[in-house]
Amino acid sequence: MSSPRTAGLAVLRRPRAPAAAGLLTLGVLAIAWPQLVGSSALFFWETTVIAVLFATSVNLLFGGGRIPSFGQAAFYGAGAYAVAEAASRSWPVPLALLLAVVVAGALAMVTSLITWRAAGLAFAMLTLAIAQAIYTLVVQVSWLGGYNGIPGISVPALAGINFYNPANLWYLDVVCVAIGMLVFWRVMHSPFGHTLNSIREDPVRAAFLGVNIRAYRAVAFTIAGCGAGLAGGLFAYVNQVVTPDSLYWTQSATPIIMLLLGGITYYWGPAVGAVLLSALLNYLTQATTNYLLYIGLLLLAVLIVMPRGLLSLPTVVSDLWSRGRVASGSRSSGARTGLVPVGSSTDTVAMPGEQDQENPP
Amino acid sequence: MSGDPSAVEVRGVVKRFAGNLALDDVSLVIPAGQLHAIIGPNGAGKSTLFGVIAGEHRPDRGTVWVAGRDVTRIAAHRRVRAVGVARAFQVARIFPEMSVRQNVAAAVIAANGSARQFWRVKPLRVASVVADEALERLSLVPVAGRPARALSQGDRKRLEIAMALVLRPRLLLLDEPTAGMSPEETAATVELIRGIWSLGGLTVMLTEHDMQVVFDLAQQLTVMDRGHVLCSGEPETIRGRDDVREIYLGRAHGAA
Ligand SMILES: Nc1ncnc2c1ncn2[C@@H]1O[C@H](COP(=O)(O)OP(=O)(O)OP(=O)(O)O)[C@@H](O)[C@H]1O
Ligand SMILES: [Mg+2]
Repeated sequence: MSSPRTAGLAVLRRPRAPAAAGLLTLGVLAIAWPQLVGSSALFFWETTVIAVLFATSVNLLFGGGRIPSFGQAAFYGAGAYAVAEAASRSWPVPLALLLAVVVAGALAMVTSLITWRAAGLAFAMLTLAIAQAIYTLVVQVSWLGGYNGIPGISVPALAGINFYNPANLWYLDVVCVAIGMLVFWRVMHSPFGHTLNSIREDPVRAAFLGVNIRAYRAVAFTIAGCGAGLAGGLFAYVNQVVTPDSLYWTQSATPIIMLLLGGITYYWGPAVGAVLLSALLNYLTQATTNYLLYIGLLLLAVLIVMPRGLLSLPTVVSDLWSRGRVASGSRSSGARTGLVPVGSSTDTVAMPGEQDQENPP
Repeated sequence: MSGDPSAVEVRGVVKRFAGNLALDDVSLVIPAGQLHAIIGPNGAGKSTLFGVIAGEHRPDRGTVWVAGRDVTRIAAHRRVRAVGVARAFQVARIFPEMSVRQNVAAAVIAANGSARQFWRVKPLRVASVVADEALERLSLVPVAGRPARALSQGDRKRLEIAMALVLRPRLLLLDEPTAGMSPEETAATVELIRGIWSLGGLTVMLTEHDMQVVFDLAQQLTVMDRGHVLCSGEPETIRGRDDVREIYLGRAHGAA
């Protein structure tokens, strides 16, 4: 039985061969992709892998630390504008993307200091308000192009590779996203990630283990901001124009929908959600003007059947299956997520608080 | 200051919850290395006293000294490192979705400072080995891989003690450590606490409603009632006092 919350120690015991095979497949697919889908579809796939990175960065907050930020668009947009400015000065690509990461990270750090004492709903509202304030500000700044934004962004050639070739832009995009994904994988499986998970599970317990929970939340927020900045920076190159839309609150909401769809407790959850939602949006916006309705219905359906997202499907199925095998008894609390081995002697959890209901020897 | 400072010194602490006086001018001195039990009826203020010592509650008046340091204004998470306080809660607080081993590993990395590392994976592997040693001591090895929320109340209590121990505390606060345990588990936990304490260098404070446990373990008792300290002393002396019998022991024995 494998727990979905593998972030942490469980992953160390996971067999490496299937993981390596999976990554190899992804790598081969990424190389062959321009030939497979054709250059006209590449733009869609470029923005999709950017969404994968963005959603994964948001998952460090929501899944990793239960830090409900509704303002990640601010850092995504900051990265996009940073690259737009750098590109207009013909900065080399690595430097421009580094600028995006640094600017977004710095902005996230400042935000985390402003929101230092807030948690839960108050934190969510504050992040939303800060992001919207930044949006309003940028719209009024003329050197950032106001509502029209900054058009005509081109990718300067890098080490003799020119990016007018769409396949090359795809490779640049994919390599940068892969680096970002690797960083988030390491962070989520590091001692820091484990500590962040413990704060998610019970901040009071974590504090009484000596963990400065506010500082850890702030660092996680900053790292997630860097990831959003890289995603936004890549988007600027791919889209060739940056508008204030990249800072708007819907831009914060999209990755949240993606990671709810895919599964908030899984490393690959946001990636799956991002691919699915991007594909759906791409199809639905051409087919109907009511696409938001369908997206909403889909999200609702998924969350009713699989509250932990699409990746929890195996656990949901195995839970249903084992529930069918066991003569339906009184399995109440443990059955909810299907993780407790059925019939295990520790299945029943005593109500917290009192000691007088313990079974006799 | 000369000699060993007391492990805990609470001076004139008042703690009020929305008008409800949970601690009313409480003063208490606990010498270093003692195994000390706080007893008293429900609502006496025992847990609140632990909360004030550990940093969960900031007293409205008075000061709290641990190991000779005024910690009244030191945040809870800093007290863990600064003066070596570790606590287990009355209702065990654990990380429910993590495995039992991961719970203890979280405590290990919090204690050894490697929690700040966000790139290397190895410290977590080391922590899991240290965690297994602690689980061994508390006979939790058979459930090490289970999600913590699947544990019985008694096992949760022991898990929390395991997490407290890997912090290598000098002051251990155990709020009703045997609550929810079977008689066998209770006996084992009493032995465990005695074993840990007899290794030396550790002051243990515990609250307990089970008088058997209290008289088995404690060197000294403090009796609380309605936010006041009624008296402190040797178990035998306390047992003989009529006022204690009346407010606490009598009622407890009647109930049992
Ligand atoms: N967080 C809180 N908010 C409000 N009132 C509280 C809080 N904690 C404790 N109290 C009140 O303070 C008083 C002392 O409670 P406390 O939990 O310290 O008692 P106790 O001696 O530990 O009792 P028990 O044996 O039931 O655990 C009680 O009247 C309780 O209702
Ligand atoms: Mg209590």
